[in-house]
Amino acid sequence: MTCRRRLLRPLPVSLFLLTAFSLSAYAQAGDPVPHEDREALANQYVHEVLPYWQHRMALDNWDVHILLSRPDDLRPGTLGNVHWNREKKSATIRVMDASGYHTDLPAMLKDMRVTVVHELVHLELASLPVADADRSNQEVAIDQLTDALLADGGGPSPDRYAADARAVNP
Amino acid sequence: MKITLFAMALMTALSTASFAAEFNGKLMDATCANQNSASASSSSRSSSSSTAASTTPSSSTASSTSSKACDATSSTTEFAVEANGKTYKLDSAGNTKAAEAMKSRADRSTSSASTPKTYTAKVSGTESNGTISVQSIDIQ
Repeated sequence: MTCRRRLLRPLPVSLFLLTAFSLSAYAQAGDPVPHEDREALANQYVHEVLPYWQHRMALDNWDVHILLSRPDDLRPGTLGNVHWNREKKSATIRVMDASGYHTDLPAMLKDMRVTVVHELVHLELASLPVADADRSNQEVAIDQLTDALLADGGGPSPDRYAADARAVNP
Repeated sequence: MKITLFAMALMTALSTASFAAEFNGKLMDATCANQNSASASSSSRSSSSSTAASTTPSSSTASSTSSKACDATSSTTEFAVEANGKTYKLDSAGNTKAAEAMKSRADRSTSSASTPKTYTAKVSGTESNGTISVQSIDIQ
């Protein structure tokens, strides 16, 4: 009997942990879209957002590529980056992929859009030299410019994407 | 004749390629790292002469001291990469490539007030006497 009790004791704890884990996973996802679909949607979304904002910001003369990167492939504490070649007018934007986001789909897509526009603003300023001491100030200014640009709206809507995804995964 | 020349060129290319290696690690300011390691080794020398106890003035102490303060910045002109517990300097072509790469990149941070300071680099090239002849450099 004692032996049986001992064997059964971990069961409620395991059940509790399992429930808590699955609930937290559900809360993180926030919607029923499976992870693979989130990744695919994110990829599709950033590829749609980029040309819209590239054109809107008059950067059509740049050859800009975009790709999703795992958080480990980015600098710690960053959500994306841009590398450019001024002479060739080419650039690559990396956006943190869905595995780095613990928010619902619309919030994730909105943040990815912010990264794309933020990095495009960097491209606009690529010809200006920036001292290390001014980097933080420049980042603050770019964040504000990005917010201002996005406040005007336009472009592929993250909410529409999320709604379409929910329709497919009811 | 043409075939011989082609074969020689191919062999040269292959032999160069066979020695090329990849060095992944933290990108550092070589001048700063040199100064730090020099001062660390001189201080360890003086401490070892003043005490009879066996000390470990090792490169790891110098390395950890240098890596704390010597992060590469966009104003760095001489670079080094800390990989596999060693610090390798970049050759002059590598320094040019690294400086250009540092100036041609930007991040979006989680908080614009706290931009990360360290850079990781993937350097391809051939190493000789602690210096890498850089073929390509990719800064994370």
